[in-house]
Amino acid sequence: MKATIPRIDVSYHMSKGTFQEAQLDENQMVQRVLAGDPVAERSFYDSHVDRIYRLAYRMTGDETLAQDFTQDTFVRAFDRLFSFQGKSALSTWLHSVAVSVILNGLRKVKRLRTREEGQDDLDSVGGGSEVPDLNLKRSLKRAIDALPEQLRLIFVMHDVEGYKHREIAETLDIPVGTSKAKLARAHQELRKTLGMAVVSIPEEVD
Amino acid sequence: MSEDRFDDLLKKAAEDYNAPPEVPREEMWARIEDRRKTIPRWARWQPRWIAWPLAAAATMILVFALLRDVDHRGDIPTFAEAPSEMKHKSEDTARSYPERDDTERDDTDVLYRLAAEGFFARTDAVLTQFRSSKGADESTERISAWAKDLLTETRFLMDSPAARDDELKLLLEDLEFVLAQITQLGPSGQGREREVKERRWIQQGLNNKDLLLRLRRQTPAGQGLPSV
Repeated sequence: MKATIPRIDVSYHMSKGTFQEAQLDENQMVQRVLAGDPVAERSFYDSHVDRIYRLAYRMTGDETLAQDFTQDTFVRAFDRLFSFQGKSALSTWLHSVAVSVILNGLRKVKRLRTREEGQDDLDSVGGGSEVPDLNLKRSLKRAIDALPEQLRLIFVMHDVEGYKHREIAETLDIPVGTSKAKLARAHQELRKTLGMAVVSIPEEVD
Repeated sequence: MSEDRFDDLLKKAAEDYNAPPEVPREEMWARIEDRRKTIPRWARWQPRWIAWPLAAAATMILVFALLRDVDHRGDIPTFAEAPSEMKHKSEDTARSYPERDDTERDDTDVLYRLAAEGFFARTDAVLTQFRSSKGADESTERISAWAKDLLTETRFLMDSPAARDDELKLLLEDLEFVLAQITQLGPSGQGREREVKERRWIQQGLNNKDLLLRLRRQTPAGQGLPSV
C-alpha cells in the first residue's frame, strides 16, 4: 500500500547553482524523501550539509576526507531514513550517522597510516618529553590531534563548533553529565600537554 | 597562568583548529547523486524487515533441501535388508549398502523440529503484529508481505516429516489458512470497510481456533533461537 504523501507547497529557486532551503516540516520532509521526491532530498541535504561538513573537516583537517565522509553520511542517511522514528530531532539522528561515519573513517585512515609509516604521527604528540612548540596555535592543534578520539570529538563539537551538551549527548547517546565530564577531561589533557608552552609564551596569543 | 586565562586562550585558539573552507555543496551533491544512482531504487528504500523474511525463507529452503537429501538416504536398503545373494558378493559390494543408523532418523526429525520451531516463532511474531495493528496503514502491507513468506514455509513444513505429528499437521493447516487470509489484505485496492471486515474475520478465526495459544505451545519459552 503506497503511503499517501500530502501535497505541500514547496518553493525553491535555483540561485547561482544552489537551491534555497525549502521550508518543509521535518516529518513531511522525511515522508517525501522516503517517497523519492528529489526536491525534498535536496532540501534535506541543504538543511544539514554545512554543519556535517564542518564537523567532518574539523575532525579530519583534510578536504578530501571531509568531503568523503560528508558524502558517505548522506548516502547512508538516505539509505536508512526509513529507520528514523522521530524520537529525536532529524539533525540529531543525522549527526549520529555522521559521527559513526567520521570515527570509523578516521580509524581506517589511522590504521592505514600506521601501517604505511610504521608509526602514527598523531600519537607522537603529548608525551611530555617534547620541546614546547613556540607557536601556541600549532601546539594546540597538535595537542588536540593527540586527544583520544571521543574526547576530541566532544571538544570539537562543543568548544570549536558550539554544539550544546544536550545535542552532543543525544548524538553520541550518552548522558549529558558524561559529555560534560569528557569535555573537562579533554581540557585537563590539553592543559597538561600545553602547560609548558603556554606558560613560556603567554603573550603570543594576544 | 590562571585557569581562566588558559581557558580563554584555548577558546580563541580552538576557533582556528582545522578551520573549514567554504562548503563544496554542489560538488558533493553531484557525487552523492552519482553514488545513489548505482543503487537501484527498489533496493534503496528496502527496509530491513524485507531482508529478514527473505533470508529466513532462503534458509528454510536450504535446510529443507538438505534434509530431504538426508531423509532419502534412509530409503537405501541396509546391509541387513540386502538380498541374500548380495551378501555373498565381495565385501566391497556389501559396503555399498550402508548400515542404517537409527540415530540418523532421529537427527533428521530433530532438524525438522528445529526448523518448525523457528517457523512457529516467526509466525507468532507476525500474528501478534497483526493483532496489535489497526490496519489501513503501512503496517498492513508489511504484515501481509511477512505472511506471504511464511505461507511458502508452511507448505514446505506440511510436506516434511514435521507434519507426521497430527497436532502439528492440524496447526500448520490452520496457520496456512490464516496466513493466506492475511496475504489478501493490503494493496489490493479494497475499501477500508472491506478491510475492517476481513480483519475481523481473521481475528475471529484466530480466537476460535486458539491459534496463538496452540502456536506458543509449540515454541519453547523465550525463544530467540529454536531449542529442542
